[in-house]
Amino acid sequence: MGDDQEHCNQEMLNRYVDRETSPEQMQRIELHLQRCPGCRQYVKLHGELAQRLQREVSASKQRVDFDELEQRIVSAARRRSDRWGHLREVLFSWKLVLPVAATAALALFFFTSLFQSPPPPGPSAIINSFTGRVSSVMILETPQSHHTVIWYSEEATEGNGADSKKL
Amino acid sequence: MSDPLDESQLVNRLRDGEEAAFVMLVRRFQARLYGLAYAMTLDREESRDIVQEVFLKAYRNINTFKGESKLSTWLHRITVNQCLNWKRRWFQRRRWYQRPLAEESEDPSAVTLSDGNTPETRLREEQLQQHYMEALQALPDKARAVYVLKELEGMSYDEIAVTLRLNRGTVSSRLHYARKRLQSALRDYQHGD
Ligand SMILES: [Zn+2]
Repeated sequence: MGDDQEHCNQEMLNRYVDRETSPEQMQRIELHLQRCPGCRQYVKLHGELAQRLQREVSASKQRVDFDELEQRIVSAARRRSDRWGHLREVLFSWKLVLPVAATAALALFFFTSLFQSPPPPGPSAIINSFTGRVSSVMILETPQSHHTVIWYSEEATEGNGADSKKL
Repeated sequence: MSDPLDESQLVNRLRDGEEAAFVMLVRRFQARLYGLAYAMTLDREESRDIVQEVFLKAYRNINTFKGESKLSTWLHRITVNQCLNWKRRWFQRRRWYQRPLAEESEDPSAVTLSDGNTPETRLREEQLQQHYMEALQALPDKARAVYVLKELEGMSYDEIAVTLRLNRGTVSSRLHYARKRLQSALRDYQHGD
């Protein structure tokens, strides 16, 4: 670059272009630029390219309907928030937790008894269950053990009570 | 909707899950983030999707924003990261910058930098722009991110360092690298002064 090769320092030139030099460095570079066409060309090129990039982006922005984009983003946030809120509600509601716990207890019971050696004679399990409006009861019996599982049904609450101002 | 909130008020209201605050956030930053995404991807549709995803992420993770940097810095960081993730998929699809000629002629800002407006000058301008955009796209992600934050956003080295969590020296060397690559890609288009 230029006719004064030993003094051409592009990294320093960049800092000059970006106004990241000290006043003394700036003076030195300006002096160098007066006699180095290569470095002048470099500074000019990158000034022009920056302008080109800004023009390209601003032209692209002009073609975007930002009101429409805003609506799209807000709707997406609402949808995602509803989905998460609903999922959280379901995951942590007693309506799900109690039956899941009961099923898990049952599964555990059957699997442990299945792998126990050897299978006992006579009936392996007697299951009685009662389902009422408020609760359900399940009784499991084996010759060795007796289990009673109880779970409560909650009435479905009307509406999710979500504040329409919250996402 | 008026937008009188300062940054910390806005953040607090976002943490409370207020939709109005979210709308303000979008309104305040969407154009700027779109510009950044577009400079990174050169794809209008992808940039819109990226901006949407950035706001959803910001909203979801607002509690991780500690206020150590400005909200805009944080959003810029998310946008750059989102662009880099996007780029991987986009690169696999081999989509390259193509500026439709019809669109070019409708573009009111397509003013040439060179003097004169002869067909030759205009063609040369368009070719230069096309080559520049291609060279920009061909830059490695990290160098392009620094370059765009500098040349588009006019950030200082320190601001870029905070945004991309780099040190100043790395910012300076990546910028130097990006400019050298661009200069060499556009060598044929340079004329002496
Ligand atoms: Zn020089």
